[in-house]
Amino acid sequence: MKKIFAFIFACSLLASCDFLEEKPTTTLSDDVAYGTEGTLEAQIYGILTAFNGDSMITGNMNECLMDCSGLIQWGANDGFLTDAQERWTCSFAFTQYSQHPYNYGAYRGFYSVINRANRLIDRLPSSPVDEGFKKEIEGEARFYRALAYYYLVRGWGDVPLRTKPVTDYEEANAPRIAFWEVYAQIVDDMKFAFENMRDYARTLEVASQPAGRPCKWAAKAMLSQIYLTIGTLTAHADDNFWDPAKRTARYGVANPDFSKSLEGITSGSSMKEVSRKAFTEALACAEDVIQKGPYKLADDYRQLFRWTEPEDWALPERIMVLTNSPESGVSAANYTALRSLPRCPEGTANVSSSNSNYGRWRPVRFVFQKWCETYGGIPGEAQTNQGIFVRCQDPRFDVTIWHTGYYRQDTGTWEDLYPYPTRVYNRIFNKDMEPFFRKYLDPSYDGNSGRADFYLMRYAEIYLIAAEAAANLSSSPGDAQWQKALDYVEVIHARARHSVDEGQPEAEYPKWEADRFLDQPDPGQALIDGIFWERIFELYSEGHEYWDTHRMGAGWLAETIAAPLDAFLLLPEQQYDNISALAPGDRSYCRAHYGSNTPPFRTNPEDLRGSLILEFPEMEVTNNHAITTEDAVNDFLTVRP
Amino acid sequence: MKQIARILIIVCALLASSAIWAQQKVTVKGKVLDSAGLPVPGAVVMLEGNVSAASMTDEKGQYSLQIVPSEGQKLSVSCIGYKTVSEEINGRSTIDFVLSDDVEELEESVVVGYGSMRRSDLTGSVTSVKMTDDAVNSNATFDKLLQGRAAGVQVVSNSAAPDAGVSVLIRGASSYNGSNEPLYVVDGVIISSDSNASLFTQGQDNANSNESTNGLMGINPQDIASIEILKDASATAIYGSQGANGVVLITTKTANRDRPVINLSSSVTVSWRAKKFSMLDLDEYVEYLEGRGPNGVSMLKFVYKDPTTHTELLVEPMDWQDYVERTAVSQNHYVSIAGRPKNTSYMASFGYTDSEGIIKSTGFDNYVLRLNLDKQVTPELKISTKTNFSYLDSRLTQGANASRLTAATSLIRSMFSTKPYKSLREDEMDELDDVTATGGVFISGPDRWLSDFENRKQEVRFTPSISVEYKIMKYLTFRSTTGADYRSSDQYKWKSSRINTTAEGSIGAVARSRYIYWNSNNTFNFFRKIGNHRINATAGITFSSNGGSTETVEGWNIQQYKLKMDALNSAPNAAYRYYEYESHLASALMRVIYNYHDRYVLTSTYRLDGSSKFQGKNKWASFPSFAFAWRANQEEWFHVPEISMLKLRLGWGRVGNQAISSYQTMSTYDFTTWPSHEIGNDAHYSVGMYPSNLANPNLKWETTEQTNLGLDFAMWNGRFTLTVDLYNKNTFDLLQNKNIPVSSGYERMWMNMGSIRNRGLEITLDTTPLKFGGFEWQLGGNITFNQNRIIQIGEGSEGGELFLTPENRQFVNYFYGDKIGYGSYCNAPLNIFIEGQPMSLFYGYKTAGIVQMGEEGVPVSAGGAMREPGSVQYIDLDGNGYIDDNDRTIIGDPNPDFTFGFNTALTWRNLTLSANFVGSWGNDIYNVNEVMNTDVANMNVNITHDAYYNAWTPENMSQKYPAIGKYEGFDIKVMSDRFVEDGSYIRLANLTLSYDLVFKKSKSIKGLNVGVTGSNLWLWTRYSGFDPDVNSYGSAWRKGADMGSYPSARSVMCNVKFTF
Repeated sequence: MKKIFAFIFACSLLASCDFLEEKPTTTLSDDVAYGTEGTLEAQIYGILTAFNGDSMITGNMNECLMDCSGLIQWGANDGFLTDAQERWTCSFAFTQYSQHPYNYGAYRGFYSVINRANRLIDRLPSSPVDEGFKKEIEGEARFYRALAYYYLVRGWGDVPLRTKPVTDYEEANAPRIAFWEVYAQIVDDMKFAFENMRDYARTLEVASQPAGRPCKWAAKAMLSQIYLTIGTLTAHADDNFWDPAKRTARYGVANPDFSKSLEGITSGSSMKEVSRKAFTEALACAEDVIQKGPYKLADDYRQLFRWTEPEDWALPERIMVLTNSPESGVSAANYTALRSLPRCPEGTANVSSSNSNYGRWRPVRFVFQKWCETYGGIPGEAQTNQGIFVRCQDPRFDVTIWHTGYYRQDTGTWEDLYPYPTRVYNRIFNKDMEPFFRKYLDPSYDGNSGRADFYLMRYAEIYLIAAEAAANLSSSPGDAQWQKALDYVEVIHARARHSVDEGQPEAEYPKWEADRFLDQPDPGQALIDGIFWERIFELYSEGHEYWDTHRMGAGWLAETIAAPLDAFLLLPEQQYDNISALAPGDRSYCRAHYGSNTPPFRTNPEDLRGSLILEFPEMEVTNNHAITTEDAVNDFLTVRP
Repeated sequence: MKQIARILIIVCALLASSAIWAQQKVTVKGKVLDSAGLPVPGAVVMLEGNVSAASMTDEKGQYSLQIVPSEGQKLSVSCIGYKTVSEEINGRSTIDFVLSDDVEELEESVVVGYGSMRRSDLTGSVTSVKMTDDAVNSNATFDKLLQGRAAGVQVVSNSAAPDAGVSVLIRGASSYNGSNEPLYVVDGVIISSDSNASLFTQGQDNANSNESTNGLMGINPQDIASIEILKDASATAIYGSQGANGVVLITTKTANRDRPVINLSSSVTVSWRAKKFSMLDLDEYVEYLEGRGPNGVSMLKFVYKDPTTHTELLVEPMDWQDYVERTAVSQNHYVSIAGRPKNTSYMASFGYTDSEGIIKSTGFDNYVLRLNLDKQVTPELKISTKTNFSYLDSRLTQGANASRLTAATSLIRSMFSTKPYKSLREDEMDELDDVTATGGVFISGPDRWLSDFENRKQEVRFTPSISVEYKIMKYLTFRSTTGADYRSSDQYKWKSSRINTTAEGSIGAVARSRYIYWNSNNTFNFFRKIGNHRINATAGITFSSNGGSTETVEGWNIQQYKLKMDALNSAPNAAYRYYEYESHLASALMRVIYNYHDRYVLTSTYRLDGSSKFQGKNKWASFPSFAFAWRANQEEWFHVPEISMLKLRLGWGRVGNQAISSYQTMSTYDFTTWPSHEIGNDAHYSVGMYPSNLANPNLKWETTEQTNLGLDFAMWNGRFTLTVDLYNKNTFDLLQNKNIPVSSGYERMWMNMGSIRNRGLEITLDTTPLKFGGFEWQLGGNITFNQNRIIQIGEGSEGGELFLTPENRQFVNYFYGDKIGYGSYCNAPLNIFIEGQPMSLFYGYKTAGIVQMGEEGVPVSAGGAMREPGSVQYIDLDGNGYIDDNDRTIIGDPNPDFTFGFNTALTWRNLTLSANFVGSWGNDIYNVNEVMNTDVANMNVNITHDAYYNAWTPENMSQKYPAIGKYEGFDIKVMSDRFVEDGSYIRLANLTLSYDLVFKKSKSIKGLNVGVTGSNLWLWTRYSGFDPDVNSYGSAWRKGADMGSYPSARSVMCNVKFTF
């Protein structure tokens, strides 16, 4: 017996040497994944895909946030919603609830970016590739990591901070970290990125733009926006998303401590000092990009959204872009087009049948009218659209918004849109008649895929950042900083005005003269608000609306967005004129497609403080044992409507 | 074992005969024939009580024996497969014997892992399944025929489709990871029971389309001689890491006669639907739409050209259930030949099944060939080979994706939800118009599914094995079996855009998967009997490797739909995927059975397993077991002649489960693509790579420890037998693909955590209450009680306050299962896993009927909307005035209190009437079909008659069906007790009348059996769906849901069987 056993064990042990080792073939393991320059590049694309996938274009972030901005609304079939009622309620409250799948999806997407970047950074030292090349890769990976954290910290405030790849279950459970610590990491990463990433020429050489890859100047450009955000948050410190009392209880510090991200700032610095320093940095970074950077504005605004000529994808205005192509192997790749265009619009190719996925991001009528009012609006003259503007002089307007109506290829019919040249009676006022976005009208779009890209950042924004920072630094109207702000806006205006066909006169709309805001009760704030609206008009539907409306504090949000928006929808000219017998207080007519019994927009600043950041995703609270239910609640979260 | 015993007898006899050579002798000779009058060679003829006088019959059945005559001498003849007979010599010199078949003796030895043993030596819990003719004829796969036939074995059909998969659960679920299926071993070779590859990953309605088919179709039930089910750990520990869910051992037929025996059987089955649902017909549907007001009326223009005058009908009324369903006719033919000439045994068979489903165009053809050969080369060496070849051609039309159940993904859903009319228009453009005008809801119906959808799977399966058995010495035999299970399947699927709401074109895909499982078992078997001690030991090593690959090509946006699959090559978009995997297992095993005096039996097994799926110290794990049996009736003091068996068994063992996919302990990377507009990059993308898993290098085996206490009892010569088993099964270090914080960058991670306990009682009873003349009444049955508990969820588990009952809210650790539905229907997890509770409980809202007129204090929905009269009334458990997530509680339990089966047979001479009942008691079903069929919130679908005519109105204050127009998205999205139904049932599974004819005189035909079997002729249940025997998803994470299930059928089968 003994011999037999000895034999058995000998055989087993022999077998174990090789027989029991795993050797995967169709999936790669660590040793090959970082072995060459090519695989390191592939890792970078892997990180980028996470932006393109879960978090941005496929919609989680955009679908989550666009309609909470108040300036974009949701227009999909109920069938695509988990709970229509809940979604509308969220948009009236300017925030998303913790159970909302898109809230969770966006959060997940950004951490997917972070994890991929962390894994790459962690494995780089052991990669046999040339050190110089590795530094470039590390710089780029840290750029993406910082970018993902920047979205997270703006969206949810305090978030888990991970700079190393997770290796086990213990590490997977990480607590929320004070948002200023997250900003410190972001600034640190961006600075590192600027020092180590490739310059523009080298980026073109390696990745041969227009692949959408950012160069080192993108880090500087992002820094200007990051500082601007810190500046605006702290400029409205008393009115923003954190409650000093709760902060003290949680972190032992009442006010955000930006000493790690801003030079010269200490833990004891006042919020005013912090804000001023941040705006100064923002302006310096933006001007650095303007003066030394490789970027150039496109000559014609329309070229940015033409999507036909090879040079359209190689414009030097592109700082960072999430790209699309039908061949990328991802079906329904062009979610931007799918979600913003009307059904089967004329001008797109090969649209053979219906697609009910259309038009999920829509401009709101409020912005439509506001834009026209600001830049040479043309009032309607038909019986059906009297009292409202039907279009405006700004050439960017028609590039951005699809209004009045469109010709539907599949049915050969004309579909009416706001502002209705001929109003259709006997038909329920519905989402089909709200305007659409036009920026992603891509002639190769076939209802499923196309090649219209999504700009994460383009050069025009840098001028607006510089302008906003300067406006905030201006101590009195008309001073040097004030003038600087006007000059930077004018760069954008000038390009817009001459974005007309050759031989046509420049578009006519008012220049911002030196006395432009001086007649306002608070000229300084008026200038800042003017730049805010300029951002909206220049960048509408490019994903900035939510962030821009949520960084300046609850009072500002109530006064500038919520209250006017609510009032606007009650204007007689915005009513559907076929509804005759409305019960008093029935507001359903003005937002008919949201369904009946919806509450009004939240307009009370105290309520809105809870809306300035998103509720923490429920699934993360459930699964993450380092986060308690109490930790997950926003400082100002009030009772849900 | 029997073989050895026989050789021993002969050897002893010959030795003894030489010793008494000197005495005076006479010769007795004669012939030994079987009941059919054919010679029986190899029978041992022996003078009773004197082993020295023995002889063996030759090929002609003749024997010759020299004896020393004396008074009262008896000659006995014994042979395997026959009853032993004896006759007094009485001075005769020629004595012929006729042997009759001995069924009992054949059953006496039981196949256990890596060998066989005497039934009386069994110490573990092993159930043998009776293979009756009517059972094998009326079941396409052998796993289905286990239903109700073995205590402790719960068999639930995933659906009633002809080739649907079956969930087999032995002694309760003990794992979360989806694999609670037992291990299947056919003639010593482990075979796979996996179903298939998934197709269609592009497009919402088509994503992850997968139709589960039965992975065991390649084994023909008619080839099976016996099935043994090893249930407790002391029996399965010999299978170590693969034994945790029990082991099903299948032995195929071999010859038991020298002369060739030919069996020929044919059957024809007619099936028809067992149930039809009452949906609105066209007139009723129009009335329903009109009742809905302006929105509804606007829809009427698709029914009538002029909705105000109702003129110019553009459609014809259609009952889609009638349109889709049919009376199906299936046939089955089987021929086998077996014989045992000159030390060679052969068994060859061919089976053909053409099975039609009651849904048009569903069904399968199955061809199974088998050849079993054994050759005794020398007295020491025996080689044998068993080869099974099968070809399965399945036609699946149920749909594209079960979990996103809509008319665009499921034919069966379409059958219910399609409005009760068919368009009379020929023009396709009109149809498109219809689609868009109805708000994106697709109007095409089941007719398109039948004409524009194809899904076909063709599988070739080859299961060969070769065994060598060598007798090294008297007590020691070496046996080596090497076998493989090779499966190669081609699947293709085509779905035209005409049955899809969102696709721009048609989609087609082909997949080829290859799977191979190698086994090599090498064992030494030791057997020795010394006095009252009997030792039987087995030791050896085994290796297995398991590998497979899948390649898929998928094309979409195909504009040409009429060519169907032929148009795949014109796909403007295509994707190709290839994936392969491999895993290995090396083991050493040992078993010792020690028997003292035939009274005490001690069994001990030990297995050491090494798996490639684990790393470092977790690579190897050992699985011991000990069991003891006491045969009380063998004791000398035991004097109850009526009791032929009284045996107590006690066993303990440890078994494992390693059912995770390969490469989970190492970091792996997947590929992706990044779109690019780069000039010169024709592919328009760059390749990306990203980490695809969070590796857990510390993963180890899931371990199950089980204690079993059993009693075997038999009385009155086996006319009453009773087996009772009590077990306690603890599974710990559960392999879980655990949800982890997504901020880690991953959603899930494989971990070992938590424990589950299953306790149960199994009773099997077989009796023959009446037996006289040619009449016999048999009655048998089994019942299983199993109690399942989650003992511990694991470290860092999710905790929270839950309402366990409406009154009892407490802090518990829990987690949710997977979501059941998608989109608007049941888009929530149904099952919850709570520490201290059974697995997979239903969790959702409690309701109290419908809100009535004038009712006050009705809680408001989470969104703030009022619940008005006619709305569903949810109970606000926490009393905060809102109906929100915190108001959920346990609303059902899909685990049965007990399952049972019983059978009875009345035999009068050659005529037998038998009935077989199966059932389940106390389990709940979540009726997702009902959610969809009563959805009055969606006017684009048809609904049941009741949902409209019994809907709440101020006049008809129904408490069941809400008012039209007061039904909301929330009502169909969440889980509520409105759709929880009692799934208890008793079914007359089979009722068979058969007549046996034995032709003793005919030279050609020896036997004829004709029979009629009715299946599912009677069903008692309170369940309102098609059939309570349903579990749409096989996994524990989504358990107890009836969603898009295939309609159940009743059937009658006529079969005829010839024996030559």
